[in-house]
Amino acid sequence: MSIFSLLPELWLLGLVCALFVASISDKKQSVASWLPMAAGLGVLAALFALGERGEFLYAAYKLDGLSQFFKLVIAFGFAVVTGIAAGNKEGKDLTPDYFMLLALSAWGLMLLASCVELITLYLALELSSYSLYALIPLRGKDRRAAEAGIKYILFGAAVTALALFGLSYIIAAKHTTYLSGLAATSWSFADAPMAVIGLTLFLAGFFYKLALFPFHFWCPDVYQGAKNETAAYVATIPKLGAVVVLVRLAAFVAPHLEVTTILAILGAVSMTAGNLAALVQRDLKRLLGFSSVAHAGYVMLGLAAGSAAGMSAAAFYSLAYILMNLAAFYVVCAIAKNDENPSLDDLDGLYKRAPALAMILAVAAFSLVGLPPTAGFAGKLFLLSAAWDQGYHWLVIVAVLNTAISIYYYLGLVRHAYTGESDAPAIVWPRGYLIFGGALAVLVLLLGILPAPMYDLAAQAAGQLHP
Amino acid sequence: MVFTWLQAAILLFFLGGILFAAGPLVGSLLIAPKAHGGAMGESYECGVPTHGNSWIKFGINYYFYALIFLAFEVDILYLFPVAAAYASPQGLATTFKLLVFLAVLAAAVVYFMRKGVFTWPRKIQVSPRP
Repeated sequence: MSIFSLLPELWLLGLVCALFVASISDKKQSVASWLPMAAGLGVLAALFALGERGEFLYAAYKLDGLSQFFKLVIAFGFAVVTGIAAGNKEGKDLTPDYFMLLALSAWGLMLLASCVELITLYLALELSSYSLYALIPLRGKDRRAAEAGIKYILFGAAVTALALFGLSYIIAAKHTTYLSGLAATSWSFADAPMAVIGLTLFLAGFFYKLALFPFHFWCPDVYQGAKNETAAYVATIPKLGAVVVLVRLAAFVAPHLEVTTILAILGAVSMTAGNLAALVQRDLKRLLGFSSVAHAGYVMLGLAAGSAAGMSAAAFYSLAYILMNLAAFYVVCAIAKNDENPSLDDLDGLYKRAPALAMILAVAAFSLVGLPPTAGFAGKLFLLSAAWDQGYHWLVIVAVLNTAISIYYYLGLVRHAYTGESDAPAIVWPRGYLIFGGALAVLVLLLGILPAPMYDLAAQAAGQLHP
Repeated sequence: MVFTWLQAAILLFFLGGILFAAGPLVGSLLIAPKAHGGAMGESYECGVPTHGNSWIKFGINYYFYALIFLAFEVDILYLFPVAAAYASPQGLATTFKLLVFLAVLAAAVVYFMRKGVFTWPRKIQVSPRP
């Protein structure tokens, strides 16, 4: 248990400092040349630290299987987002400041994965959120980005204030903020009404980051208004932070308690609201925003199940989710001209204009639906079986119906790309960038065909919480 | 009812507060000269005759200073619990923790300095509405 146990966080902190120095220096050199490589090294650091265990800082910061798994996924997601952003050569807004805020947000999420005490959790959440508040309006002189920023900040500030209020109720009722202490007590409404109310309010802060109904209203507007690369980040990595905290908190509520029933109901409504609203969208990022709301509902299946299988399914699904979403946003960023928002009509004729991008989009769309042999199918399989085994039959039926509804708009992307006709010119990208996107699609397929290694990692991680 | 001295004191302070606020108001109602019309409806600008609109554009630098002041003020607030908790000398490790906190704040100041927030523009344009 040396300083090298903290290697992933320290490497990312080093990246933040390097980007800070680059942002205040006079040389206007783009960081895109070295940043994706450095972020890739961060993924290696997280791989080496996968087996580290220990406790730091008065047992408020703990390295266990779950935290190291999520740090690896966060490092990977950050590396992919920097890769996507680095490909955008004309991006005037992709300054070192932009990447510094991205890295700071990712660093806050890594810290969030390891916090096992409520106040430290809240601090890490705020660290990652503030960087995002500054990041979302960064889009040239675009009014839509300013509007998206205001929405995100106002809703976010209100919800985190509610979360802090709930935290105060938990402290008052349970007299401890350490998750280990809280797990040992009873969480039924009859035994601890104030604590259950407090926990529901505290969870609201994380439901906001996950874009779960009814805290999802920011999601489509922010994705649509922010820069494409920012939307790629916001759509994926903060959800990981929310899921890891929800896995830790859901580990100490048993199935069919009031809190778990609330989780299940919110998940069902979120799935339905997200899928139904996505059916009529034309703007690609807005469509993916509503799809994020629906996927937040699917993750709730695993969390409401509450068993070790449910937790591992939720952790595995968050990995699959960021992979397929990153592949989808990669295509969105690649087909966008001058940083504009691509719409469904911009996808027309993609099979002729950029066959590689059309293929990657097809893999991402099939995975988002949950069709085999993609990662989305494996994730949904684990989630549905975990929820069914715990007796949530109605929830599984709602999830399956929602998957059927979502086929329309996800495969609508493929329909536009492969059967739409357009006279627009071919989209040219350097080979390396297309290979990068292809690697993302291959990973989505690989995770679907061979889910066992990553699922075992997630199961081992969640099993320690919920033996 | 039997009051304690504490309750009597609270009551007296309450009454005193009301009188302190209401006294000058009532006094000006009774004693002040009555005037109507003319310049009475205009916004008060230290007795100087007003010119232009009150809704004008002003330099954004005031906003930067106010915002940064507020942020650092809250950070100074965090130093109060540090002073309270570490009332007696603690040694090098605790000093180092505090110095790390101050170093991050200093880095923020350096960032603002390099971005030109602290250079006051030569001429603030105050453009009244035509």
